[in-house]
Amino acid sequence: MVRNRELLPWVGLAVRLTAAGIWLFAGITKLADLDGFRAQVDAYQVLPHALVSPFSYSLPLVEVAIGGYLLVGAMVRPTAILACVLMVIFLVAEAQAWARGLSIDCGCFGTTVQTQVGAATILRDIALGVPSALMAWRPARKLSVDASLLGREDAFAPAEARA
Amino acid sequence: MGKASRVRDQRDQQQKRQQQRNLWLATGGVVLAIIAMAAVLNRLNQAPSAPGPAKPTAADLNAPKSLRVAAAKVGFHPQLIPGVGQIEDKSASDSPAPNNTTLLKPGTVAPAFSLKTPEGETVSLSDYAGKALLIEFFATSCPHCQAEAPHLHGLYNTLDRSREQMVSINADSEGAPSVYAFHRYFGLQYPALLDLGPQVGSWHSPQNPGPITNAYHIQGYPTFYVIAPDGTVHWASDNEQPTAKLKQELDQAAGGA
Repeated sequence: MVRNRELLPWVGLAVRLTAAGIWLFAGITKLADLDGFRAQVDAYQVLPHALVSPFSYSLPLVEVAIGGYLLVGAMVRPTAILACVLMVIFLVAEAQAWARGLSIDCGCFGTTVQTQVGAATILRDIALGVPSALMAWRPARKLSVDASLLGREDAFAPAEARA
Repeated sequence: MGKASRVRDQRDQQQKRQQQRNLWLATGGVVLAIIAMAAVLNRLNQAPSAPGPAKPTAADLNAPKSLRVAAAKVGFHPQLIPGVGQIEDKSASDSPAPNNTTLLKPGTVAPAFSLKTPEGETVSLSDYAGKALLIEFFATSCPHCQAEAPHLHGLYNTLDRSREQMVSINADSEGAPSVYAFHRYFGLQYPALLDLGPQVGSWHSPQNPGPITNAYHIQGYPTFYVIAPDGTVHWASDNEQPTAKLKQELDQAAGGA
Protein backbone atom coordinates (compact mmCIF):
# COMPACT_ATOMS: atom_id res chain seq x y z
CA MET A 1 0.00 0.00 0.00
CA VAL A 2 2.75 2.37 1.07
CA ARG A 3 4.76 1.37 -1.95
CA ASN A 4 1.77 2.12 -4.22
CA ARG A 5 1.44 5.59 -2.74
CA GLU A 6 5.12 6.21 -3.26
CA LEU A 7 4.61 5.38 -6.91
CA LEU A 8 1.93 8.05 -7.33
CA PRO A 9 4.31 10.94 -8.15
CA TRP A 10 5.80 8.79 -10.91
CA VAL A 11 2.30 8.08 -12.23
CA GLY A 12 1.67 11.82 -12.22
CA LEU A 13 4.94 12.39 -14.07
CA ALA A 14 3.91 9.79 -16.66
CA VAL A 15 0.57 11.57 -17.20
CA ARG A 16 2.36 14.93 -17.54
CA LEU A 17 4.84 13.53 -20.04
CA THR A 18 1.97 11.92 -21.98
CA ALA A 19 0.22 15.29 -22.19
CA ALA A 20 3.51 16.90 -23.23
CA GLY A 21 4.02 14.26 -25.93
CA ILE A 22 0.53 14.78 -27.34
CA TRP A 23 0.99 18.56 -27.63
CA LEU A 24 4.52 18.34 -29.01
CA PHE A 25 3.39 15.81 -31.62
CA ALA A 26 0.37 17.94 -32.55
CA GLY A 27 2.51 21.06 -32.93
CA ILE A 28 5.46 19.51 -34.75
CA THR A 29 3.29 17.65 -37.28
CA LYS A 30 1.54 20.95 -38.12
CA LEU A 31 4.86 22.80 -38.42
CA ALA A 32 6.05 20.10 -40.83
CA ASP A 33 3.44 21.17 -43.40
CA LEU A 34 2.22 24.67 -42.57
CA ASP A 35 0.64 25.20 -45.99
CA GLY A 36 -1.30 21.97 -45.65
CA PHE A 37 -2.45 22.94 -42.16
CA ARG A 38 -3.55 26.38 -43.37
CA ALA A 39 -5.67 24.69 -46.05
CA GLN A 40 -7.18 22.42 -43.38
CA VAL A 41 -8.07 25.44 -41.20
CA ASP A 42 -9.55 27.19 -44.23
CA ALA A 43 -11.71 24.13 -44.98
CA TYR A 44 -13.49 24.51 -41.61
CA GLN A 45 -15.05 27.70 -43.05
CA VAL A 46 -15.18 29.28 -39.59
CA LEU A 47 -12.49 31.96 -39.53
CA PRO A 48 -12.57 35.03 -41.77
CA HIS A 49 -10.00 34.66 -44.58
CA ALA A 50 -7.83 37.38 -43.04
CA LEU A 51 -7.44 35.37 -39.84
CA VAL A 52 -6.78 31.95 -41.37
CA SER A 53 -3.03 32.51 -41.88
CA PRO A 54 -2.20 34.18 -38.54
CA PHE A 55 -4.12 31.44 -36.72
CA SER A 56 -2.52 28.64 -38.74
CA TYR A 57 0.99 29.96 -38.11
CA SER A 58 0.53 30.68 -34.39
CA LEU A 59 -1.33 27.57 -33.26
CA PRO A 60 1.46 25.01 -33.93
CA LEU A 61 3.96 27.25 -32.10
CA VAL A 62 1.60 27.57 -29.14
CA GLU A 63 1.14 23.78 -29.12
CA VAL A 64 4.89 23.19 -29.12
CA ALA A 65 5.26 25.72 -26.28
CA ILE A 66 2.55 23.94 -24.26
CA GLY A 67 4.30 20.62 -24.88
CA GLY A 68 7.66 22.08 -23.87
CA TYR A 69 6.29 23.64 -20.68
CA LEU A 70 4.59 20.40 -19.66
CA LEU A 71 7.74 18.44 -20.50
CA VAL A 72 9.92 20.45 -18.14
CA GLY A 73 7.08 21.02 -15.69
CA ALA A 74 7.08 24.79 -15.80
CA MET A 75 3.83 26.50 -14.74
CA VAL A 76 2.07 23.15 -15.02
CA ARG A 77 -1.39 24.28 -13.93
CA PRO A 78 -1.70 27.47 -16.06
CA THR A 79 -0.25 25.58 -19.04
CA ALA A 80 -2.66 22.69 -18.57
CA ILE A 81 -5.60 25.11 -18.26
CA LEU A 82 -4.57 26.78 -21.54
CA ALA A 83 -4.31 23.30 -23.10
CA CYS A 84 -7.85 22.48 -21.94
CA VAL A 85 -9.21 25.77 -23.31
CA LEU A 86 -7.60 25.01 -26.70
CA MET A 87 -8.98 21.49 -26.62
CA VAL A 88 -12.52 22.81 -26.01
CA ILE A 89 -12.12 25.23 -28.95
CA PHE A 90 -10.98 22.33 -31.17
CA LEU A 91 -13.93 20.19 -30.09
CA VAL A 92 -16.40 23.00 -30.82
CA ALA A 93 -14.83 23.53 -34.28
CA GLU A 94 -15.00 19.82 -35.06
CA ALA A 95 -18.57 19.48 -33.76
CA GLN A 96 -19.83 22.37 -35.88
CA ALA A 97 -18.08 20.99 -38.99
CA TRP A 98 -19.59 17.57 -38.31
CA ALA A 99 -23.03 19.09 -37.68
CA ARG A 100 -22.82 21.01 -40.97
CA GLY A 101 -21.96 17.79 -42.77
CA LEU A 102 -18.55 18.99 -43.97
CA SER A 103 -16.35 16.15 -45.19
CA ILE A 104 -13.04 17.69 -44.21
CA ASP A 105 -9.82 16.54 -42.71
CA CYS A 106 -9.55 17.12 -38.96
CA GLY A 107 -6.12 18.73 -39.19
CA CYS A 108 -5.54 17.71 -35.57
CA PHE A 109 -2.07 16.43 -36.47
CA GLY A 110 -1.54 18.47 -39.62
CA THR A 111 -1.27 16.38 -42.75
CA THR A 112 0.73 13.63 -41.00
CA VAL A 113 -2.31 11.81 -39.58
CA GLN A 114 -5.35 12.42 -41.75
CA THR A 115 -8.78 11.64 -40.38
CA GLN A 116 -12.13 12.94 -41.51
CA VAL A 117 -13.94 15.08 -38.94
CA GLY A 118 -16.72 13.13 -37.24
CA ALA A 119 -17.75 11.44 -34.02
CA ALA A 120 -14.54 9.38 -34.01
CA THR A 121 -12.22 12.42 -34.11
CA ILE A 122 -14.29 14.17 -31.45
CA LEU A 123 -14.09 11.14 -29.12
CA ARG A 124 -10.37 10.77 -29.87
CA ASP A 125 -9.71 14.42 -29.00
CA ILE A 126 -11.68 14.12 -25.77
CA ALA A 127 -9.48 11.14 -24.86
CA LEU A 128 -6.32 13.05 -25.83
CA GLY A 129 -7.46 15.94 -23.64
CA VAL A 130 -7.75 13.79 -20.51
CA PRO A 131 -4.04 14.00 -19.51
CA SER A 132 -4.11 17.80 -19.86
CA ALA A 133 -7.35 18.01 -17.86
CA LEU A 134 -5.76 15.86 -15.13
CA MET A 135 -2.78 18.22 -15.01
CA ALA A 136 -5.09 21.24 -14.65
CA TRP A 137 -6.87 19.49 -11.79
CA ARG A 138 -3.82 17.96 -10.06
CA PRO A 139 -0.54 19.32 -11.43
CA ALA A 140 2.18 16.65 -11.34
CA ARG A 141 5.44 18.28 -10.32
CA LYS A 142 7.80 15.32 -9.96
CA LEU A 143 11.07 16.32 -11.69
CA SER A 144 9.69 19.72 -12.62
CA VAL A 145 10.86 23.32 -12.86
CA ASP A 146 7.90 24.24 -10.65
CA ALA A 147 9.22 22.01 -7.83
CA SER A 148 12.94 22.68 -8.15
CA LEU A 149 12.82 26.44 -8.70
CA LEU A 150 9.62 27.47 -6.96
CA GLY A 151 9.30 24.69 -4.40
CA ARG A 152 5.75 23.94 -5.55
CA GLU A 153 4.14 20.77 -4.20
CA ASP A 154 3.45 17.78 -6.36
CA ALA A 155 -0.31 17.19 -6.27
CA PHE A 156 0.37 13.50 -6.83
CA ALA A 157 2.66 13.19 -3.80
CA PRO A 158 1.13 11.45 -0.76
CA ALA A 159 -0.35 13.94 1.73
CA GLU A 160 2.24 13.26 4.46
CA ALA A 161 5.07 13.98 2.02
CA ARG A 162 3.49 17.33 1.18
CA ALA A 163 2.92 18.37 4.77
CA MET B 1 18.66 29.86 16.12
CA GLY B 2 15.00 30.82 15.65
CA LYS B 3 15.98 34.18 14.20
CA ALA B 4 18.54 32.61 11.88
CA SER B 5 15.92 30.15 10.62
CA ARG B 6 13.43 33.00 10.04
CA VAL B 7 16.01 34.93 8.09
CA ARG B 8 16.77 31.85 6.01
CA ASP B 9 13.05 31.30 5.41
CA GLN B 10 12.64 34.90 4.33
CA ARG B 11 15.59 34.59 2.00
CA ASP B 12 14.14 31.38 0.58
CA GLN B 13 10.76 33.05 0.05
CA GLN B 14 12.40 36.01 -1.62
CA GLN B 15 14.41 33.72 -3.87
CA LYS B 16 11.27 31.78 -4.86
CA ARG B 17 9.42 35.01 -5.63
CA GLN B 18 12.35 36.09 -7.77
CA GLN B 19 12.36 32.72 -9.56
CA GLN B 20 8.62 33.00 -10.16
CA ARG B 21 9.10 36.47 -11.63
CA ASN B 22 11.83 35.08 -13.86
CA LEU B 23 9.57 32.25 -15.01
CA TRP B 24 6.79 34.69 -15.90
CA LEU B 25 9.31 36.90 -17.69
CA ALA B 26 10.56 33.88 -19.63
CA THR B 27 6.96 33.02 -20.52
CA GLY B 28 6.45 36.56 -21.75
CA GLY B 29 9.55 36.06 -23.88
CA VAL B 30 8.12 32.80 -25.26
CA VAL B 31 4.83 34.56 -26.13
CA LEU B 32 6.72 37.38 -27.86
CA ALA B 33 8.85 34.84 -29.74
CA ILE B 34 5.69 33.03 -30.92
CA ILE B 35 4.15 36.31 -32.11
CA ALA B 36 7.38 37.27 -33.90
CA MET B 37 7.75 33.85 -35.57
CA ALA B 38 4.09 33.84 -36.67
CA ALA B 39 4.54 37.35 -38.08
CA VAL B 40 7.66 36.28 -39.99
CA LEU B 41 5.89 33.19 -41.36
CA ASN B 42 2.94 35.36 -42.34
CA ARG B 43 5.24 37.79 -44.13
CA LEU B 44 7.05 34.99 -45.95
CA ASN B 45 3.71 33.60 -47.12
CA GLN B 46 2.02 36.71 -48.45
CA ALA B 47 -0.94 36.31 -50.75
CA PRO B 48 -0.06 36.37 -54.44
CA SER B 49 -1.07 39.57 -56.17
CA ALA B 50 -4.29 39.34 -58.14
CA PRO B 51 -4.37 40.17 -61.84
CA GLY B 52 -6.19 43.32 -62.93
CA PRO B 53 -9.56 43.10 -64.65
CA ALA B 54 -9.54 41.69 -68.19
CA LYS B 55 -10.44 43.90 -71.14
CA PRO B 56 -14.09 43.44 -72.14
CA THR B 57 -14.63 41.40 -75.30
CA ALA B 58 -17.16 42.08 -78.04
CA ALA B 59 -19.45 39.46 -76.46
CA ASP B 60 -19.25 41.28 -73.13
CA LEU B 61 -20.30 44.52 -74.79
CA ASN B 62 -23.28 42.75 -76.35
CA ALA B 63 -24.57 41.66 -72.93
CA PRO B 64 -27.75 43.40 -71.76
CA LYS B 65 -26.95 46.82 -70.34
CA SER B 66 -28.97 46.12 -67.20
CA LEU B 67 -26.73 43.10 -66.50
CA ARG B 68 -23.55 45.09 -67.06
CA VAL B 69 -24.77 47.86 -64.75
CA ALA B 70 -25.83 45.37 -62.05
CA ALA B 71 -22.47 43.55 -62.35
CA ALA B 72 -20.55 46.83 -61.99
CA LYS B 73 -22.52 47.52 -58.80
CA VAL B 74 -21.32 44.22 -57.30
CA GLY B 75 -17.82 45.72 -57.20
CA PHE B 76 -16.18 42.32 -57.49
CA HIS B 77 -12.44 42.16 -56.96
CA PRO B 78 -10.26 39.15 -56.10
CA GLN B 79 -9.31 38.63 -52.45
CA LEU B 80 -6.47 36.14 -52.61
CA ILE B 81 -5.03 34.59 -49.47
CA PRO B 82 -1.54 33.14 -48.88
CA GLY B 83 -1.04 29.67 -50.22
CA VAL B 84 -3.50 29.93 -53.09
CA GLY B 85 -2.48 29.69 -56.73
CA GLN B 86 0.65 27.64 -56.06
CA ILE B 87 -0.30 24.26 -57.46
CA GLU B 88 -1.73 25.26 -60.84
CA ASP B 89 1.63 25.40 -62.58
CA LYS B 90 2.89 22.14 -61.10
CA SER B 91 2.86 18.77 -62.86
CA ALA B 92 -0.15 16.45 -63.03
CA SER B 93 1.40 14.09 -60.49
CA ASP B 94 1.24 16.86 -57.86
CA SER B 95 -2.56 16.75 -57.92
CA PRO B 96 -3.82 16.68 -54.32
CA ALA B 97 -6.13 13.88 -53.21
CA PRO B 98 -9.76 14.96 -52.82
CA ASN B 99 -10.94 16.00 -49.35
CA ASN B 100 -14.54 15.24 -50.25
CA THR B 101 -15.09 11.49 -50.14
CA THR B 102 -18.68 11.68 -51.38
CA LEU B 103 -17.94 12.93 -54.90
CA LEU B 104 -19.58 10.88 -57.65
CA LYS B 105 -17.42 7.92 -58.58
CA PRO B 106 -16.00 7.32 -62.06
CA GLY B 107 -18.50 5.44 -64.22
CA THR B 108 -21.53 7.04 -62.52
CA VAL B 109 -23.95 8.68 -64.93
CA ALA B 110 -23.45 12.44 -64.51
CA PRO B 111 -26.64 14.16 -63.27
CA ALA B 112 -28.26 16.03 -66.15
CA PHE B 113 -28.57 19.81 -65.94
CA SER B 114 -30.11 22.59 -67.90
CA LEU B 115 -29.03 25.92 -66.47
CA LYS B 116 -28.97 29.53 -67.57
CA THR B 117 -25.98 31.78 -68.15
CA PRO B 118 -26.10 35.29 -66.64
CA GLU B 119 -27.09 36.51 -70.12
CA GLY B 120 -30.11 34.16 -70.07
CA GLU B 121 -28.96 31.46 -72.50
CA THR B 122 -29.74 27.86 -71.56
CA VAL B 123 -26.87 25.38 -71.43
CA SER B 124 -27.47 21.67 -70.84
CA LEU B 125 -25.21 18.74 -70.14
CA SER B 126 -26.67 17.07 -73.24
CA ASP B 127 -25.20 19.92 -75.35
CA TYR B 128 -21.82 18.34 -74.70
CA ALA B 129 -22.70 14.73 -75.57
CA GLY B 130 -19.82 13.19 -77.51
CA LYS B 131 -17.24 15.54 -75.98
CA ALA B 132 -15.17 15.45 -72.82
CA LEU B 133 -16.42 18.17 -70.49
CA LEU B 134 -14.63 19.83 -67.56
CA ILE B 135 -17.10 21.21 -65.04
CA GLU B 136 -15.81 23.57 -62.38
CA PHE B 137 -18.06 24.25 -59.40
CA PHE B 138 -17.03 27.61 -58.00
CA ALA B 139 -18.00 30.56 -55.84
CA THR B 140 -17.01 34.13 -56.61
CA SER B 141 -15.92 34.77 -53.01
CA CYS B 142 -13.66 31.69 -52.91
CA PRO B 143 -9.97 32.72 -53.06
CA HIS B 144 -9.01 29.33 -54.47
CA CYS B 145 -11.48 29.77 -57.34
CA GLN B 146 -10.13 33.28 -57.95
CA ALA B 147 -6.59 31.88 -58.07
CA GLU B 148 -7.71 29.12 -60.45
CA ALA B 149 -9.53 31.46 -62.84
CA PRO B 150 -6.55 32.76 -64.90
CA HIS B 151 -5.25 29.20 -65.24
CA LEU B 152 -8.63 27.90 -66.42
CA HIS B 153 -8.71 30.80 -68.88
CA GLY B 154 -5.36 29.60 -70.23
CA LEU B 155 -6.50 25.97 -70.33
CA TYR B 156 -9.66 26.85 -72.29
CA ASN B 157 -7.56 28.57 -74.93
CA THR B 158 -5.52 25.39 -75.47
CA LEU B 159 -8.49 23.01 -75.90
CA ASP B 160 -9.52 21.40 -79.18
CA ARG B 161 -13.11 22.43 -78.60
CA SER B 162 -14.50 19.93 -81.08
CA ARG B 163 -13.46 17.25 -78.53
CA GLU B 164 -13.10 19.01 -75.18
CA GLN B 165 -15.19 21.70 -73.52
CA MET B 166 -15.49 23.53 -70.20
CA VAL B 167 -18.28 25.08 -68.14
CA SER B 168 -18.37 26.46 -64.64
CA ILE B 169 -21.36 26.19 -62.35
CA ASN B 170 -21.83 28.56 -59.44
CA ALA B 171 -22.11 26.57 -56.22
CA ASP B 172 -23.28 29.38 -53.92
CA SER B 173 -26.64 30.21 -55.57
CA GLU B 174 -25.19 33.54 -56.68
CA GLY B 175 -27.30 35.61 -59.04
CA ALA B 176 -26.45 36.73 -62.55
CA PRO B 177 -24.68 40.02 -61.64
CA SER B 178 -22.06 38.41 -59.37
CA VAL B 179 -21.38 35.46 -61.67
CA TYR B 180 -21.15 37.76 -64.68
CA ALA B 181 -18.84 40.15 -62.79
CA PHE B 182 -16.52 37.26 -61.83
CA HIS B 183 -16.29 35.81 -65.33
CA ARG B 184 -15.82 39.21 -66.92
CA TYR B 185 -13.16 40.23 -64.40
CA PHE B 186 -11.04 37.22 -65.39
CA GLY B 187 -12.07 37.36 -69.07
CA LEU B 188 -13.35 33.76 -68.98
CA GLN B 189 -14.85 32.72 -72.31
CA TYR B 190 -16.45 29.41 -71.34
CA PRO B 191 -20.03 29.53 -70.04
CA ALA B 192 -20.76 30.32 -66.39
CA LEU B 193 -24.02 28.77 -65.22
CA LEU B 194 -26.38 29.83 -62.46
CA ASP B 195 -27.59 27.09 -60.13
CA LEU B 196 -30.04 28.87 -57.89
CA GLY B 197 -31.25 27.49 -54.57
CA PRO B 198 -34.18 28.78 -52.51
CA GLN B 199 -32.44 32.15 -51.98
CA VAL B 200 -30.42 34.08 -54.53
CA GLY B 201 -26.98 34.97 -53.22
CA SER B 202 -24.20 37.25 -54.40
CA TRP B 203 -20.46 37.85 -54.07
CA HIS B 204 -21.24 39.61 -50.78
CA SER B 205 -23.73 37.06 -49.54
CA PRO B 206 -23.28 33.38 -50.47
CA GLN B 207 -26.41 31.25 -50.11
CA ASN B 208 -27.22 27.57 -49.83
CA PRO B 209 -26.35 25.66 -53.00
CA GLY B 210 -28.79 24.90 -55.79
CA PRO B 211 -30.05 21.46 -56.87
CA ILE B 212 -27.31 20.66 -59.41
CA THR B 213 -24.54 21.54 -56.95
CA ASN B 214 -26.18 19.18 -54.47
CA ALA B 215 -26.66 16.47 -57.11
CA TYR B 216 -22.88 16.53 -57.72
CA HIS B 217 -22.23 16.30 -53.93
CA ILE B 218 -20.23 19.52 -53.76
CA GLN B 219 -18.86 20.42 -50.33
CA GLY B 220 -16.13 22.91 -51.18
CA TYR B 221 -14.80 24.89 -54.07
CA PRO B 222 -13.39 24.62 -56.50
CA THR B 223 -14.56 21.09 -57.27
CA PHE B 224 -13.84 19.66 -60.69
CA TYR B 225 -15.59 16.93 -62.65
CA VAL B 226 -14.49 15.60 -66.00
CA ILE B 227 -17.44 14.04 -67.81
CA ALA B 228 -16.67 11.48 -70.50
CA PRO B 229 -18.25 11.76 -73.99
CA ASP B 230 -20.77 9.05 -72.98
CA GLY B 231 -22.08 11.20 -70.12
CA THR B 232 -20.46 9.29 -67.25
CA VAL B 233 -18.12 10.67 -64.63
CA HIS B 234 -14.52 10.14 -65.70
CA TRP B 235 -12.75 11.90 -62.81
CA ALA B 236 -13.59 14.17 -59.90
CA SER B 237 -11.65 16.07 -57.28
CA ASP B 238 -11.90 19.13 -55.13
CA ASN B 239 -9.15 21.66 -54.29
CA GLU B 240 -7.13 23.72 -56.72
CA GLN B 241 -5.56 21.45 -59.31
CA PRO B 242 -2.51 21.54 -61.55
CA THR B 243 -3.71 22.69 -64.96
CA ALA B 244 -1.71 19.78 -66.43
CA LYS B 245 -3.86 17.37 -64.40
CA LEU B 246 -7.11 18.88 -65.69
CA LYS B 247 -5.79 18.69 -69.26
CA GLN B 248 -4.60 15.12 -68.74
CA GLU B 249 -8.01 13.99 -67.46
CA LEU B 250 -9.81 15.82 -70.28
CA ASP B 251 -7.52 14.18 -72.86
CA GLN B 252 -8.02 10.73 -71.34
CA ALA B 253 -11.80 11.21 -71.23
CA ALA B 254 -11.83 12.42 -74.83
CA GLY B 255 -10.07 9.20 -75.79
CA GLY B 256 -6.37 9.58 -76.15
CA ALA B 257 -4.11 12.40 -77.26
